[in-house]
Formats: sequence, C-alpha cells, structure tokens
Amino acid sequence: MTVIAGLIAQHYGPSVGGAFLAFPAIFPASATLVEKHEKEKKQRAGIATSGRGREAAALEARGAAMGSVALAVFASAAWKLIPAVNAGVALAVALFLWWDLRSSFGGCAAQAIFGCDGGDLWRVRCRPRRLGVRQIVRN
Amino acid sequence: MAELVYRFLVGGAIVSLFAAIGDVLKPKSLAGVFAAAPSVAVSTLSLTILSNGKNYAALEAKNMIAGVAGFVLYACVCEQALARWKMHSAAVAVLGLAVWIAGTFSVWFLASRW
Repeated sequence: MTVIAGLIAQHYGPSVGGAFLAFPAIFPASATLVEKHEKEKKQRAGIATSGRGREAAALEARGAAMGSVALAVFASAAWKLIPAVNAGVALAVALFLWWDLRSSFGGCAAQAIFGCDGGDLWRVRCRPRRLGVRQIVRN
Repeated sequence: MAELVYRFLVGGAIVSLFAAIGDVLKPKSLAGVFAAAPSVAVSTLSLTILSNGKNYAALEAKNMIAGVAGFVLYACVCEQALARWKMHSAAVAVLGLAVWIAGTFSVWFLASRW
C-alpha cells in the first residue's frame, strides 16, 4: 500500500495521494483472520460457531471506527507540525497523539456512533446481547 | 525503481508491525484500533519527507484527513454489516472499500471546492 500511495502521489499529486494514506490496508486482512480464528477456536472447544466469528469481526470493526477518529488527530498533527518542526519529531508527536487519544476520542466517537460508553467498550461490555461479546470473552 | 523497492520494504515492515501488535491484543475492540493505525501514513510520510520535502509531505497529511473521513464511514458500515446484517467478513471488508472510496472522495471534493 505504501508503494501504491507513492505511485498515486507521483501521478495525481499529493492531494489525491494523501487521501490514500488512510486506506484501510490492515482491516480487511485482520477482520477475515479474526473471524477464521474465532470459528476454529470454537470448533476445537466443541461450541456451536454460528455467528461467533462474525461477532468478533464486528467488534474489530467497531475498534477500527474508534481508532480512525484518533487517526484524524494524527493527520492534523502531521499536517501542522511537519513544516514547523523537525520532521522526525513531528511524526513522533503525531504518533504519540494517536496512541494517547485513540481511547478517549474513540470512546466519545463510540458514544456518538454506537450509543455505548467508551469505558464500557474498553471493558468489552457494550451491547452484549447483540454482539455476544461477553460470551466471546468468557469462552 | 530503488525508491519503490525501499518503499515496499519499509512500508511492508511498518504495516506488518502494526498488524502484529493488533493480532496479539485483546479485547478485540482494542485490536481493532490497530486496524486503523497510521501504518501506511508513517511509512509513506517519512519516505516522502526524504524524497520530496516537508511541504509536500504536509500537503499529503492534510489530504489524509479526507481519507480518514472515508475510513470512519467504512468502519461503521462494516460494523453494521457484520453485526446487524450478518454478512461474511471478507465480503464486507472488500465490498466496503467502495464505501471508503465514495466517502473519501466526496469529502475530498467538497474540501477542494470550499
């Protein structure tokens, strides 16, 4: 994806290429793997697998939605800091802000988007009936 | 060509690092946060700073915000499709990329006209 982003930036300029810096490169692979691993785990334990893997992948997607809010903070910090200070320091600060704010900003976003508390989300307790996350954790 | 190889190696290493961290973390909502890690951004921006300069990289970072808006939309649609509509995760993740493209370039177009 880094190569593709670089090629797009070369052909179409940094304004189009920049948008591809937030391309979901990891999520498709990780969601598919999470579903597969969860199914296999439940099958080994002799538990009916109907929907377990999908529920784990849905939880992964919810986490990604939370993380993407912090990703906006990373992008804004990089945009403002890269021209102003040392580039390494700018990227380190942007990365630190992403790391630090991914839970709190993500929690607020979770509240707004999914109607559950951010703290609850970190304890994996929100909407247990719909997602079955308590069962996922317990098993 | 050498730059592309360099991008491939450095980008692949950083993306793999973030993916590996996400894979070992529990609960899954926390692991999911790493699915939205700035892995591509960190590798691409650092290489762009070296090859094209700081202002070019800052412009890329500014336009990344449109991509992030698309990512928020993409993740929300994926969550709903998986939890509510019971769709298969691989299909959701791949078909959802159309949502990412639509969301990203809608925001990008609106921002460029504003």
